[in-house]
Amino acid sequence: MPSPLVVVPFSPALGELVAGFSCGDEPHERELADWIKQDALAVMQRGTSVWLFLTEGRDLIGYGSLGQTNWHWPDPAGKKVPVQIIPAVAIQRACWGKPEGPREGRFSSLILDHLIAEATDRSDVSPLLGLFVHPANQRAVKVYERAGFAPYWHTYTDRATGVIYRSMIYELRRLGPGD
Amino acid sequence: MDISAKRRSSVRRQLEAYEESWKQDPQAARACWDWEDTIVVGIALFRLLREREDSWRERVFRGVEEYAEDDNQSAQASFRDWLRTTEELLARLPALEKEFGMVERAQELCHCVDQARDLLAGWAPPRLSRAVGLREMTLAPQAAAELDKLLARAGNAATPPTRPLRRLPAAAPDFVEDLQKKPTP
Repeated sequence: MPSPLVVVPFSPALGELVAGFSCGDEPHERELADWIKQDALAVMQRGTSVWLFLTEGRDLIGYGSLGQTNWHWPDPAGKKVPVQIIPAVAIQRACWGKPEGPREGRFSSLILDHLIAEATDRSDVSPLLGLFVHPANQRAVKVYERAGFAPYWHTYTDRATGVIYRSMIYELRRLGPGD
Repeated sequence: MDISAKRRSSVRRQLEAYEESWKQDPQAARACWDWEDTIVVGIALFRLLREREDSWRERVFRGVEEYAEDDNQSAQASFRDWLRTTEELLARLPALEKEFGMVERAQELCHCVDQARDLLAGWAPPRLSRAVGLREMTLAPQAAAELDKLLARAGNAATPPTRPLRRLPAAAPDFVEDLQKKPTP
């Protein structure tokens, strides 16, 4: 059975393809649409990978990204550890809950599983994959939980907006010879 | 003087030394290798400025350092000063080539000048990552303790995956070419 989605690495030549990207009208949803239109190419120059996910019919379903950051221990002289991060992932509003059928076949599951597989390839960077969720985005929290992400203690307060983001973590497994 | 100011002043001193190295006595007779040494210093200094700029942009992007307009002005001024000195140096190049034949690495320095002009023409100040996940952050004690436990456990081949790995296929090259031609919806 052919895959319902294919992956294309994002590039400047594909900028027009995302010009109409829309993943909802809430402020945090518009922020995600703006990210792929305005920030993604610049972020790629700083080492983050960004992919578009399309149907064989060339319809853009969503995008995903994978990067890296450092988390510091509270002690000023303490260590810092690299953590893999999904900076942004989104699905076009019209494609939410699609295709019909089992949840593991939905676009959201396929895209997150692909990002997890990519992160697993890079587990030498860090065996942990994190992400931050806007507190209003409860729908996304459920999708992440289904993909295997667990809530993590850490929250982050954006000083500019006062929004307190929740974090979630996925424990990657080390690839074995049979993977 | 804070650390940032000291860092700036050390680069400033390098720029001044570069300018003084050949402008103090421009009429003095100099060997070809002496000019070539100055060119090597110019190239190295340009790379230093680029590295320093990139490091500053990264710190602002990651939220490690807050953006300050003074830093933005200072970074641009460093490139402008380097460019002015280097353009004056390169203005002598035809005469030097007439006198010595080929001057080693002069073309490389010309390339740096082109890069510096492009950089200043398209200059945009850095800004904090909009995606909060890419910002560096300090954990609360409880989160740090939890992370220690996760790190000890994660990445262990014996840890069963919550799901089997599923990877989507990469699009064929002609698919991507078509996308690049696709008109905006």
